[in-house]
Amino acid sequence: MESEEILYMAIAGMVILLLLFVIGSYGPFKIAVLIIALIAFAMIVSLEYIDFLIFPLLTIITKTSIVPAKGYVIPKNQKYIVKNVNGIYYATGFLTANIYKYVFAAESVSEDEEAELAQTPEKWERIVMNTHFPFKFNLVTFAQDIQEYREDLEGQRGFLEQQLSKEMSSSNPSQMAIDDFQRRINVLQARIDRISSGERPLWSIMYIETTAAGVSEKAAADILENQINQLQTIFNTMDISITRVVGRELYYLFKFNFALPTLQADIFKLFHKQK
Amino acid sequence: MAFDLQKILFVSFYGASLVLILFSVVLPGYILKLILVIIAMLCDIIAFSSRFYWYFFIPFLHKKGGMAVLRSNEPYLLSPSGNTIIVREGGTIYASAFIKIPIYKSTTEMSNDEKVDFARMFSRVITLSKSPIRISSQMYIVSKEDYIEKIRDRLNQAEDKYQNINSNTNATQGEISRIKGEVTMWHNLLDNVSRSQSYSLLSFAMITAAGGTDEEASNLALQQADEIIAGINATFGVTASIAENSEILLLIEPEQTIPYSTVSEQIRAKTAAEGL
Repeated sequence: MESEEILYMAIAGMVILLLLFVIGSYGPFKIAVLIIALIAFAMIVSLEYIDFLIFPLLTIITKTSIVPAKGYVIPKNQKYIVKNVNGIYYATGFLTANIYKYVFAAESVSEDEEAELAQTPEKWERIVMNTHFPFKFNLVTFAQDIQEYREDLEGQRGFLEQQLSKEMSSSNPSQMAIDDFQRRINVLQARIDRISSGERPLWSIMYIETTAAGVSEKAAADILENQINQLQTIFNTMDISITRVVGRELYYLFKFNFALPTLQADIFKLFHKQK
Repeated sequence: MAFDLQKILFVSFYGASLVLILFSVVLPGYILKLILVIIAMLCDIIAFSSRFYWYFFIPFLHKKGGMAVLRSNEPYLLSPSGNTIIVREGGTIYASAFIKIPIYKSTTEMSNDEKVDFARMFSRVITLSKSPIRISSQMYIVSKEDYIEKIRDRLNQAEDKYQNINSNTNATQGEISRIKGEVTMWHNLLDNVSRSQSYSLLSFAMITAAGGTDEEASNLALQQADEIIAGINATFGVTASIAENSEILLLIEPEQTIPYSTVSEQIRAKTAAEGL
């Protein structure tokens, strides 16, 4: 959890704590106040972790569609953005596409990883050949602070080394655990070495955007739904974790088409759940 | 400015929740106390949600006909030079430049080592900029409207020729057959071109710079784009260039990725299928 998230939750929680502190002054309504405080706490925790479900629920209940800019509408379910051009509706949806297994340059390129690196462009071409509708694969990156990143890695390595020595000095050391610690230390060391050799650490978000057209909003949304399902299936070959983007993050990804945040902190702030 | 509004909203609602709790403690009447507690908790929840949803509060309160308008004007403006787009947000002006990356190499032409090198080259490209950069690969349906128009013209010419030659008593059977064949050929070509969709894949990078004026932001974005272009050219050995006017629209407007002719063809096919 980021420090800012903790700060916001702590500040919001303080009001609830204050209420519990003075609960005696509510006489016969003590229990009711306690229930209200618990509901408020649950709401705050939900907003922190599942706001992508709560916000669309709010717009569905209040029957509110959002106009992010002239000509565009985010319908109340907040699953897509629709644009009406001369009576034709263009619905655009987004999917996260976090690549776990594939790294654009492996930490330490073993033979297997090299084979995977070689297969990646091929798999991408196969995806393109099998897709028969418009889509966009986007990668937003920015360089991280080298010093901060290095210190973080060194801290992680130190912790793992401590755990490794603890395991090795135990009365019954597990070879599997020792191998795992050593592997993780090697990965961290490889990253530190790469930074030392002048490479920049990067932070990135990846997402897929697809558009469908129809004579009505519903027709476009139905085609879009179909396209999104197909993309989820097709991109499975790349071991990509794909999740449909709804709610607030949909609005920000829409804005990314026209301008990117120029500060790294802004991107961190917007996509804290996609890291 | 945007995040200042967020802070104002947070402090206001948070302060209101604290004050309401204090009032609920000192004021007489348990029902009133309970109502104040409920409002205080709502204010606390709103204060917390302002972290992400500050942009939605005021439009939501002013919504008309179920529409909360976050922005009533166009999402962007094309700069007069046509090579950047301008977005105004609060007091800041953002300009974005788009770089076309023409990579036409297929993995079928590459050895295993070349494929690994290609993947590594890509990782080198994404480290070219210290500021946030977007690298995208876009597949879109090619607009064949102009091409179809040309085929239609040729078909009309061929049909005219066929009518003229048919009414000409001096025309030989060979000439008539040749013109008839030409008409059939243009008909078949038109049918094939209209029926199938052609796709194109385009890779591009996008960079944004902020400035006090449109010109300042545009110049900064173009300057950064030039640096990235130099890096892309050196890494991939291609000639990357800055997208302009209609090329930019293809990258940002959804209707440009699905041409009107494709949509009308979809409707025609659907109607025909329903008719069956």
